[in-house]
Amino acid sequence: MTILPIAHAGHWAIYVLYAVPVFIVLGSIARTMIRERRGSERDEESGGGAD
Amino acid sequence: MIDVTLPIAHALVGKSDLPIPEWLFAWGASLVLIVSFVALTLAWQSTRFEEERWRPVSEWISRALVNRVVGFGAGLLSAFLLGLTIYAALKGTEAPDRNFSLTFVFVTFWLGMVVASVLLGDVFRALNPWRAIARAFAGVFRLVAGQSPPAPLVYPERLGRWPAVIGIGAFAWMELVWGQSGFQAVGLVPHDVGIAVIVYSAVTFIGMALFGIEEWTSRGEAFSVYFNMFSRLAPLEVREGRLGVRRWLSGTVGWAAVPGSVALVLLTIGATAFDGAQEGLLKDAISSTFDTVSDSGLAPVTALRLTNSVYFALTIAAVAAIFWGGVAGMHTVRAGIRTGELGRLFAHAFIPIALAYLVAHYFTLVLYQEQAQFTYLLSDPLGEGSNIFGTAGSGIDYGLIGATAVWYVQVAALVVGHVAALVLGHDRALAVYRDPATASRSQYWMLAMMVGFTSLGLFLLSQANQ
Repeated sequence: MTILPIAHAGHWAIYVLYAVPVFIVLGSIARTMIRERRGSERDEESGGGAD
Repeated sequence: MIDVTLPIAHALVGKSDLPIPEWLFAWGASLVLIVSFVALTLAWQSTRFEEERWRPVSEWISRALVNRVVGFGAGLLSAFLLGLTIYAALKGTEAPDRNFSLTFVFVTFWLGMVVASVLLGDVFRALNPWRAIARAFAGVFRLVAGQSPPAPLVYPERLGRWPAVIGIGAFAWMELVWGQSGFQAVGLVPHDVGIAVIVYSAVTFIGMALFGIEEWTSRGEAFSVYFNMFSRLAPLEVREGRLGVRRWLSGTVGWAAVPGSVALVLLTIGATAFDGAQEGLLKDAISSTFDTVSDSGLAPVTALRLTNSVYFALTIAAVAAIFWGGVAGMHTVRAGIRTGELGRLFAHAFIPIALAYLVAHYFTLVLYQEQAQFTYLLSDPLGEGSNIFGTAGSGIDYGLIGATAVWYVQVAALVVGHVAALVLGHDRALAVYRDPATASRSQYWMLAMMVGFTSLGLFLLSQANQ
């Protein structure tokens, strides 16, 4: 009998549930880093235009 | 080799009446960490642990607790217990649960001394049997030769705490790989422990003879270094013979500057994580690898130990990868400090995590096995029918604490340990980066590590408890 991988979802779904908080924090860090990089790029561009 | 199931296999029991699923505890714990992080960012704007805050207690209290008589008594007691452990291991019963030595080495000494160190400070310095014996020998040498025994070698600075790392790694390997049951009983008999203690004692005395008693004790003697690491969390410290008090956690500052310190704290976390993982998360993987290794023609016990050794190393490597990944993330906040240096600057913050993992994982083991230690194992240390204190007939009360209460203790230990780590990390970041905004940004990575280690710890416990 072939067992679909989804039949084991109960096992690996638990792993994912424990990892959710880590993903949220890492996602927030990534978002903050991207926003800061864009902000500094904008600052550089506006600074360059003024020169 | 006698096949036995190690009696100290962890007495964790299932939890039947938790109000919410276990994974939700991980979410709750993570939320506590995030709230703590925000609170630290808003309210903790200058360093509080970096400056020296040790102050002596009143002289009579110090003299009553720290004096030659107490030191001599502690040394004598520790030397007696070392002798008893070796004697019981070599001459007593081979049944691990009836022999004083196994519970004494792996529970009372290995775990109990951690608790004593965290609460009372570096008590192992007074209770170190090898130091006590070596000092007694040095005293006799002085009487005979009129001078202290010379140390022929200078301890190399770059060696730092590395000998202790090797010693603790070997001890953890002996407990968790050589003697641990994993998915199949292998067993650790008292005789093996007796031989290991003799070998370790010989290595220690050679180290002391070569580099000096105090030098080897503070850098190379594995257990002194290990218990001293935990004693840095304590509010008590003896300096130049005077007892003093300091803030909880503050003794950790500066601890990791010595080479090998980062490895020691990561090894401690990794070894405990492996112990939890081999009972749950890694159980199937170990089983499958064991089958493959066995099929290659190795004896089952050798195949199991080889397999467990690989997963032991992999778990420690995984813990190190999380740590260095987080540190590399911190490095992106501001260049200028090398990643290795950043690791050393923040490694002390992981001592509370090492403690939290130990408490969460071994709480029940200590609770149950200490009942045996101070009743029938004390009355009948060889397990051959003696009844010295009249307690040989006692047993272990496994109903002392409920399974649900145990789970709450484990969760609380992990949360408190990781919040303490956040506090230490934040305080150090303020000292390193000067400006609070940059310090907070660097600690996003510390928060990610803390949330990761908390979730991992709870996940391992939940899997091991199934």
